[in-house]
Amino acid sequence: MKKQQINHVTCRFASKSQNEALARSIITGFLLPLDPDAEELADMRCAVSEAVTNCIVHAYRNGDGIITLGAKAYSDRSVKIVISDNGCGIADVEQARKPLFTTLPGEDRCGMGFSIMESFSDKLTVISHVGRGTKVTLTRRLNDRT
Amino acid sequence: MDALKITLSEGVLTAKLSGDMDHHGVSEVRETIDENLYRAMPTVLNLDLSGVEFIDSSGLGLILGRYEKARELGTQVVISNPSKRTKKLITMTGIDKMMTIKEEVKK
Ligand SMILES: Nc1ncnc2c1ncn2[C@@H]1O[C@H](COP(=O)(O)OP(=O)(O)OP(=O)(O)O)[C@@H](O)[C@H]1O
Ligand SMILES: [Mg+2]
Repeated sequence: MKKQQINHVTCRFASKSQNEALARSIITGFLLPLDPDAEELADMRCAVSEAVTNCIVHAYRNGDGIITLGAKAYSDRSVKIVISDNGCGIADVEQARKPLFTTLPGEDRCGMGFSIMESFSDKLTVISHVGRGTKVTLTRRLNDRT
Repeated sequence: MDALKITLSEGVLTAKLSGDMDHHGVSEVRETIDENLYRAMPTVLNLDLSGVEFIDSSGLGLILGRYEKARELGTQVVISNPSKRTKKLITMTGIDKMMTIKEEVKK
């Protein structure tokens, strides 16, 4: 049977640090009806927080901007989450995804964001264009509930 | 609930963190911890994470940043009472190999 989309949501919010918690609440509210286990929920909350924080601190350098958070749920219990910005973009995505790589070492950044997103998702894709923005897509299939 | 409570006793400076250790949360406590660290020059900086409800790489960055500063002062950093979830992230990023993790038995 082909998988079907069963729910979707798209939100746009300002690039402000207090919206990191908002983004986590949105994804929690979206996932809860799917009955994820506690670990899955915590993983997805953390992954979303990483991506949104990257938009705020890197894409928009703590300035004004719009962040888009989208989520889709499918009949096979897979979830697709997209976080995108129209910020500075990433010149070398492969390098940016390496553990411990950061362009802001002086600001207590450890370069672990993408590694964390990767370990908390089944698949992570990053598409970026310098000067135009970045789109991060996380997919994860939730465990079957008995 | 305060996001940060600082106490100093017998050379141990304890920073008890609560709530969300994300980029938003850590930016509100970083300076206060550093001010106290430089003023007290303690033997041990104890980061008590028992009240932490959420942590991501920004929170881990706060820990690592304090570790670097403390090391310059000859101060030892101890992490205490992380939740299971917090411990998972600390282990994932190898911080557990750099610092002592102390789990207190709750009364
Ligand atoms: N949305 C984005 N826009 C522009 N640059 C980005 C974006 N996301 C990530 N980057 C770049 O990729 C690098 C690696 O990101 P990653 O999240 O892995 O680490 P970090 O944010 O630097 O540190 P940490 O997440 O551990 O606090 C960043 O330093 C930044 O240069
Ligand atoms: Mg990051």
